[in-house]
Amino acid sequence: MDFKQWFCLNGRESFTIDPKVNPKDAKFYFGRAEIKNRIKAQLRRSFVEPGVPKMVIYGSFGSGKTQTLFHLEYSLQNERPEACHQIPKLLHLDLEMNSKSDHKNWHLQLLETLGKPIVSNWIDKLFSQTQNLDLELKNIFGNVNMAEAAKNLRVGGDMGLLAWRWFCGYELKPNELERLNVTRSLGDLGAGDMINALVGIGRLAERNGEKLIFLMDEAEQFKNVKTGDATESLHTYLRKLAEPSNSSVGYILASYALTLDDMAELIVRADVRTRIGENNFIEIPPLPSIHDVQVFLKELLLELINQNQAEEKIHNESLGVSLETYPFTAESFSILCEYASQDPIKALPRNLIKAVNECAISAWDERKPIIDPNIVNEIAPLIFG
Amino acid sequence: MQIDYVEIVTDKPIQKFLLKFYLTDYPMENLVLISPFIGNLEGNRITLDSVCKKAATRKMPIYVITRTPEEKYQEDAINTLINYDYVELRFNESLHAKLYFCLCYDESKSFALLGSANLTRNSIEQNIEIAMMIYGKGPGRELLKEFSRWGLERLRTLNETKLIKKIKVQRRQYYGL
Repeated sequence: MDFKQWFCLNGRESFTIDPKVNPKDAKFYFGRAEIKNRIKAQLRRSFVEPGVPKMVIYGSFGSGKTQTLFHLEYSLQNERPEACHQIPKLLHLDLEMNSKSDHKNWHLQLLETLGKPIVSNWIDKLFSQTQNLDLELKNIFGNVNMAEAAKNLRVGGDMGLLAWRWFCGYELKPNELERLNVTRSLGDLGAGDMINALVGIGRLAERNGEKLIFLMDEAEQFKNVKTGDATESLHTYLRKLAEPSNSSVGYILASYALTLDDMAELIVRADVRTRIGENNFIEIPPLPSIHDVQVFLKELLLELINQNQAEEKIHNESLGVSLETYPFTAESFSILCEYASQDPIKALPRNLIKAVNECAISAWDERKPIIDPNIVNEIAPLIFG
Repeated sequence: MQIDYVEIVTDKPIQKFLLKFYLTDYPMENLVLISPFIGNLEGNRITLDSVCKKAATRKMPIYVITRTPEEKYQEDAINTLINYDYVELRFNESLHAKLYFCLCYDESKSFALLGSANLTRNSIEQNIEIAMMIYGKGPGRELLKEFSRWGLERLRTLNETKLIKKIKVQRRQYYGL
């Protein structure tokens, strides 16, 4: 018998949850109904006005920011708000910034996450629906150069690639610009130029029945930027993305920060905050009370443990524990919740999952079918002590 | 795009990893040392004892998985390890992998070393070794998570992995119930 069978795990190797490895884990959002409902309510409102979500979530390491992003993706795909008339096209991106990164790097990361095939496909579809692609693209992008470059994205080979490089903001040579029939490189006019192109792509998505939303994790990376000019250009890029006039490209930024003041300064400047809206800055806090910890753990065990197998095991082996807390005894479960709640800043989902895993490994080492109070008393201080 | 999450190390990879661990000032969650052969590393810049001391000071667990010692230098290393409360020790006789990682609370500061080198003096002073140092940036973060799942969960719970020493943490007075 292996560890998985020992604890009747539901098709998984351990109690670890990671939607990046197991996409089905995105549906889980244990024990935090209040924050989940608040974020979902903000999301629903955002599709009414300004038309796309513009949101910043923040919290400490292990608070569940990444899980929140994946859960929101799951939620938008499975319970689309009525006001969202298109199919959400959700794209995950882990931001990477160094000391000199500027708006061009950010733009490139967004475009690379989106990828040429998706945009080319949207233009192809538009072509099949319209009599005059040139005019349609001009209306969508509101700019002749962008429309010309977009038209070339339909073309395969070098030309299509060249057009994509233009959209990504690469500096093209004069002869390359001539081939594309454009008069300048994208970004020659600054961050606003790039945002216009991105928002144009967002409108193109809408014309194809999709809503472009970026889920950007690790926004604390903006703190790595040390050059003044680079910081300003990133700030301008974000401010323009936050403008009410952008109703086509949504985003949720997730950042490590214990308070708003902890966040990269360019995100929390007044001009950005007022545009995004104070209600759209949402903290993902630790689990605030012992009750929340209990609910979190019970929901986790309910989902990760095969209930039928566990019930059979409890009965056959006369384990004397309830299915609700299995593989913990009632007492060891209470002790774990007590430990986890004693220091509120440590009552984090990551720590709770780690505690369950370590307790289970310890029981497995001793070939105990259940996790008794002795085990919790050994493990919990290591994590919450 | 420049790859900055992985680095090939051919010059004393073990020393480079331990030095990075020793100098890291970020809050660390745990250190995992997986190597069939482990020595005390006496005479080197960073010894096994100094690694354990640093972890003990920070009350940070070290998880060690190795083979049952057959030679004296291995026994010496085991004797060092069992002196420390925050060390968990396991033996697995089939172990051939050499993987070392340090997980930080800020995942972007985590790092790992995966390669040919055992945690021994020979691997630092004599052998020709090659390894990859992986940092928790970009795709490196996912690799580190994968190492963590493999090293901290899968390998530790294999039937043939035997627990030799548990971590001993002073229990906090519990008043509940």
